[in-house]
Amino acid sequence: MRKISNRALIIIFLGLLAVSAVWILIAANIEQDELTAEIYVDGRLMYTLDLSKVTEEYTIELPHNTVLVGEGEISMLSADCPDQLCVRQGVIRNGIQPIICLPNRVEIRIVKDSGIDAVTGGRS
Amino acid sequence: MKRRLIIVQAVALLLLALASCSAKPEKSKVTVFAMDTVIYLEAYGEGAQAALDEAAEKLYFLDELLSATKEDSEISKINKSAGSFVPISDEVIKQLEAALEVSRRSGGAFDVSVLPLVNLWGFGTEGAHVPAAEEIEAALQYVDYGKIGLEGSSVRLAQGMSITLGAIAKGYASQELSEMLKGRGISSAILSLGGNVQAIGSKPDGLKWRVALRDPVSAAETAGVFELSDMAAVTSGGYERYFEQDGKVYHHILDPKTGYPAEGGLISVTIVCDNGMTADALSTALFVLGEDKAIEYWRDYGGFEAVLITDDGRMLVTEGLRDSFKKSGESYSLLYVTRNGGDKCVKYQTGR
Amino acid sequence: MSIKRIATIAALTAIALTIFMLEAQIPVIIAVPGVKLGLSNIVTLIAVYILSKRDAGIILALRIMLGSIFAGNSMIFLYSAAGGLLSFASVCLTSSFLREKQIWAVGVLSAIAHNAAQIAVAALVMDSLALFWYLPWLIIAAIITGAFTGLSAQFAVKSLKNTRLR
Repeated sequence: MRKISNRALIIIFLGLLAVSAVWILIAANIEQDELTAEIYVDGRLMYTLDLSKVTEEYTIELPHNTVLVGEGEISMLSADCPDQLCVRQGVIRNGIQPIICLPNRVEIRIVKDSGIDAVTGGRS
Repeated sequence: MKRRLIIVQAVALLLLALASCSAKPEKSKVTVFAMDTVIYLEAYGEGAQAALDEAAEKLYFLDELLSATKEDSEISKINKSAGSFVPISDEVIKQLEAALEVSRRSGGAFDVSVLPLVNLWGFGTEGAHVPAAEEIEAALQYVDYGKIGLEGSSVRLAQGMSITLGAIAKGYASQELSEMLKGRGISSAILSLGGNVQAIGSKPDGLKWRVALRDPVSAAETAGVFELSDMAAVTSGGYERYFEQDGKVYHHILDPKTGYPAEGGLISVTIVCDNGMTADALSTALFVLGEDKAIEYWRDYGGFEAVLITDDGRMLVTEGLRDSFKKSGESYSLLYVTRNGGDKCVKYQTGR
Repeated sequence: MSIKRIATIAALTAIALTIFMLEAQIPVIIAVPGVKLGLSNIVTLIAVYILSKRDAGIILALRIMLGSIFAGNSMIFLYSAAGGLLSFASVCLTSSFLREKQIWAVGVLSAIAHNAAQIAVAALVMDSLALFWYLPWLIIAAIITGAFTGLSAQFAVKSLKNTRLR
C-alpha cells in the first residue's frame, strides 16, 4: 500500500476542520422567512407553530420540557434531563439544526416551505 | 450474461433516479392588497406568472366593483337606490343568488342585508361601540333577506335597506380566480385571500397542499392541518375582529335576527368545500347557527365538510375529513361528527 | 494464548474500564448529544499495536459490556456498541496502511467513525433525519479528541517498544 505522509494527513484533517467550522457558521446564521416550528414528542408531532407571526414571547409546557417561543426563534427554556444539552444549545432561527432532548425524546425543528403552504383563519 | 444484466439494471436505476431529481417547476408569486386584506397567490408551471398578473388585475377590478365602502362600487349604487330596480353585473348576480340560497337554508342566519347593523356597531373603525337597544331594534327592521328582490339581471332592495357582500366576496373572488387560472392551464396553485384559502390541484410534487388552521385562541399556534387538493378552506371566527366594552368582548359576526354578536357557542368555524364562494358563505352561516344547528345543516344539505371549535374546548370534525385533517397540539379534544345522528341526538365519535 | 497475553489483556481491559467510568463523570461542553472525550479509546489503540487486532477487539467488547452494566443503562450500551463497532472497524482498516508515527491519525479517523455511528443511532432512535445536521460539530469534536487520544496512544506505544510487552 502506498504510504501517506504525516504532512498530508495533517492537511486533510485541518481541511476537514475548516470545512466543518465554515458549515457551522453559515448554518447558524441563515435567516428564514417562513418559520414554522414543529415540536415532536416521542416521534409524534405535537405542535405546529408559525414563528414569524409571534409578537410576544410565550412558553409551551411539555411533560419533561418547557419550550420558549419567541419572534422568529424558538428554544428550550428548561428540561429535567441530566445533561441539559438542549437547554444550553440556545435559540434556533432556521431549519438547519434542530433542538433535541435525547433523554426525553423531544425534538424541536424549524421546517421550511414544505411544512405549511397556507393558513386559514383570521387575517394574515 | 449475468454481469450485463446487473449493469443494465444499474443504469436503469440511475436514469430513474436522475429523472425523479429533475428540475423543480418554477414557482410564481404575487401579493395583492385588496378587499381589505392581504392576498397571496402562488402558482406553478409555465405561464404561471402571466396568469397570476391577470389574476391580480381581476382582484383589483372585483374590489372596485364589490366594496360596500367605495362610493362608486356597484354595491354602493344598489344601496343608494334602495326602493328601485338597479341593473347589476353577472358577478353580483352570482353572489346574490348564492347568498340568498344560504339565507333560506339557514333560516336567516346568513343575511347580506346586515349592513345597517354592521355600520351601527362600527366594527373595525374607531367608533366601534355597543349600540343602544332601540338603535338595534330600529336597524333590525331593515335586515331581511326576504326583501331583496332579484329579478333577471336587476335587484331591488326595500326602502332603507343596504347590503354588503363582505361575507361572500372573498370566496367568490377565490372561486373565480381558480376557474380563470385553470382555464389558463394552471394545474397547481394556492390562493390565500385573508383567511380564505383555495387550492388548485396538488403541489407540483404530487403531494396535497398543507393548509394550517389557525388556533382561535393563540394566533401564532396551529390547531390542525388540512391536506387539500382542488378544495377551498374558509374560516370564520369572532377573534378576527372585535372590541371590548366594559369588560365584555363583542365580535363582528352579528346574528341577523338579534342584532347582537352571534352566541352559538362556537369560536371558529372552518368549511372545506370545492367551491370557494359556498365555503365563505357557509362559514359565516354556521358560525351564527351555533353547534347544534350547524351540524343539522351539514346533515341536511351536505356538499361540504367542517371543523367547528367550541368555546368549551371541543373540536368537532365532520367525518368526511377523517383522512384530510389532523389536529395539532393538545388544546382541544377532537370529536368526529357522523352523518347518522337521529333527529336531535348528535352522534359523536371520539377522535385521537 | 500465552499467560503474558492474557494478563496484558486483563490489565488493559481494567484500565479501559476505569478510564471509561471516570470519563462519564466529566461534563461535556458542546451542546450535542453523544459527544465525549473518548479517552478509553487510547487503550484500544495501544492494544492494536502491542497485541493484535483480535485482542484489542476483545478488550473493547469487554469494556463496552462491563461499562454499560456498571455505569450506564441500555441506551448507553446501544450508543457505546455502535460507536465502538464502527471506530474499531476503522482502526482495523487504517492501521494496515498508516505507520506507527501516524497512530494519531488512526485515532482521529476512529473518533470520526465513532461519532458518525452515534449520530446514526440517535437518528434511528429519534426517528428523525434532522440529527445529521450535527455532523460538522461532531467532526470538529472528533478531530480534536481523536488527535489527543491518538497521540497519547502513539507515545505509549513508542515507550512500550523497549519493554518486554512488545
